[in-house]
Amino acid sequence: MHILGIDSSTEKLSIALTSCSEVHYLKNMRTYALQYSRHSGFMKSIIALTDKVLEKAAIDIEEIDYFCVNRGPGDFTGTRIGISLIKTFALSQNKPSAGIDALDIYAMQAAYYNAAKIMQLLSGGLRACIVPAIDIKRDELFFCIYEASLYEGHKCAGKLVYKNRELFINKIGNDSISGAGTFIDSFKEYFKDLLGEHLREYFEKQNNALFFCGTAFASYGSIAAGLRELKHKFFIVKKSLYPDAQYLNICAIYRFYKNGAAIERIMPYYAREFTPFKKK
Amino acid sequence: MQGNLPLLKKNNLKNQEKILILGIETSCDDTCASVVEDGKVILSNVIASQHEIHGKYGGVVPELASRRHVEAIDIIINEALLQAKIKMSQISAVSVSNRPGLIGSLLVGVGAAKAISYSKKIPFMAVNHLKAHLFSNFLEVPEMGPCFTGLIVSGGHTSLYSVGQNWEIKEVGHTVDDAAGEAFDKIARFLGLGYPGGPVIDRLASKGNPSRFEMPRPMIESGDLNFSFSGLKTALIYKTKKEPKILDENNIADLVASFQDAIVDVLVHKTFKACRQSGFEKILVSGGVAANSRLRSMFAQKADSEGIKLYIPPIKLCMDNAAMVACLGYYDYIAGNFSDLSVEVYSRSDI
Ligand SMILES: Nc1ncnc2c1ncn2[C@@H]1O[C@H](COP(=O)(O)OP(=O)(O)O)[C@@H](O)[C@H]1O
Repeated sequence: MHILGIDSSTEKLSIALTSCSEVHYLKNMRTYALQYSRHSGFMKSIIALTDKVLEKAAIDIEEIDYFCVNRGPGDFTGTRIGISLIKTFALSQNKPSAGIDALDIYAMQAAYYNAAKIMQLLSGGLRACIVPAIDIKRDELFFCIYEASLYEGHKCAGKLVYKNRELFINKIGNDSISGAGTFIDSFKEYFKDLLGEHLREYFEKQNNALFFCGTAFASYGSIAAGLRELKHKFFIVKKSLYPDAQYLNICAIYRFYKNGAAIERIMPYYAREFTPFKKK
Repeated sequence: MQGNLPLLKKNNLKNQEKILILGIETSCDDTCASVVEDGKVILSNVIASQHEIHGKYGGVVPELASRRHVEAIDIIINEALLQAKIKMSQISAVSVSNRPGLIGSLLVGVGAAKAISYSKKIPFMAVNHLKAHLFSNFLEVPEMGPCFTGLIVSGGHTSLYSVGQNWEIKEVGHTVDDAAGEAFDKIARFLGLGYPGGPVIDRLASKGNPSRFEMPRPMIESGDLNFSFSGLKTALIYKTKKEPKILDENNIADLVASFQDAIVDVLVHKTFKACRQSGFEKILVSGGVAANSRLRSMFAQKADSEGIKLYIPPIKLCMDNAAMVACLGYYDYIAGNFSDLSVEVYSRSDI
């Protein structure tokens, strides 16, 4: 099956085409990806770049089975361009589509880059959380906590399999917002609420690991210093500061195999409600 | 031919008897899609209005408009195809407004149109929203030729155009401040009548006496073909401050009728003046305010007495709609005037 993913939710536009087997879906996966830094808007180049990716992969758009997009939170305009395109591709090709939450993509990306390390921790009885945080402007961050776990594998292959066991990441917390300056404090509070009793144990074992990723760490260097105070084993996943559409596609593949290709009405996902000032 | 079309190599112009254009319009606060056959037969004309959302704020909130567009765009396009009983694969080409308008709104429609053009390998025409308003008249009267005077009067624009022998379009006048529709909307907001103001005032004014209150006719003797409507709003507000009782239930209809009459009077005066100056015999009017019943009857009366042929589209085609975009796109299509898939969107643009 062929999946086309567009991520235009940050200043780095990323487009990827992933081809994979229908059975072992992450096995023999081939990906053609392209990343492009924006100078002005994406509207000018997005079709030509999509064409380039498809051409490189020697796939015609008519052969695409699944269209997916980062549905935010992210830059308003960029995200909307991506959604508008993907929705309409799916409509005109009469194929299913998926809108994936931005934080799921960052977390998947971080898990991929650190799969070996995470699996080693888990098999040693330790725990690992992945915490993507993104800069949503006005000195606010949007973050979420995922915990990694291993299951007896059956379908998955490639990087995420260890001794026949498969690495999964589960969202354990709802999203939350905090000031960038107080990120660490709000993070700890939030973490406490979520993990309750487990928190002490989690933080007692300093070898339990935290993987941080997302644009917040590109925008606010100061957060890293705060993390050091946690006296905890932590990693800032440099390879997952900006989202890469390859991992958007992988998130979509997981969804595809979990839920089937349900007809989905993609809705943008915003970090906060928009409330205009009322004119008198 | 316009544009170098790197992707045209893949475009196969369909050798069809009938040319079916899918039009998309998202320049302001309405999400619209339409299928038009041969530039004149409207097979569908779907409009998802956002008036309720913006009504609360007394005017269009751009960020909210973009949010609604992106939620609705695929559904509206699909609805236009369903109503037309046409499959996407039967469409000959796609046409979309890419200027002028709200950037965030335009991007949604243009993104969708590019996606269709690229994935169905059909030509793509990015058109001017104002020019599309003028062309809304061609849906009804496709055989119409040049030359004529065009008035576009809407919530965002009030401009006069002269369209010459070779279809060259020249702007000969425009508002120096508010658009006429904006004046309607602002007065309605001031009087607490709701949004959009035009239709409410139109209804209320039909029960009023337009000569009861004296209102200025801004710039009517200015010598040029420009308009100004913000002073009229100030005059009305000033009047109500001086005599609050004119806001009473028995007076308000007369008040808005007098206000509406002043706007219509200036529009009639300048449009016919432009037509006379150019030596033309035809006038085309379009845009949201062309839905106004007083405007329609006053223009018709004047056209009658001056021996000018007047064209105003039916009310649904006066408002923002995608049928006019498909219609204009049709003329670009048959002329081979395709756009490149790299076109961008513009908040401002000459016609
Ligand atoms: N019957 C009417 N009389 C006067 N103005 C009207 C009437 N119907 C609509 N309008 C005005 O038309 C404008 C909307 O027209 P539209 O063509 O959608 O404009 P735009 O895209 O420039 O906002 C609004 O300002 C509205 O008040």
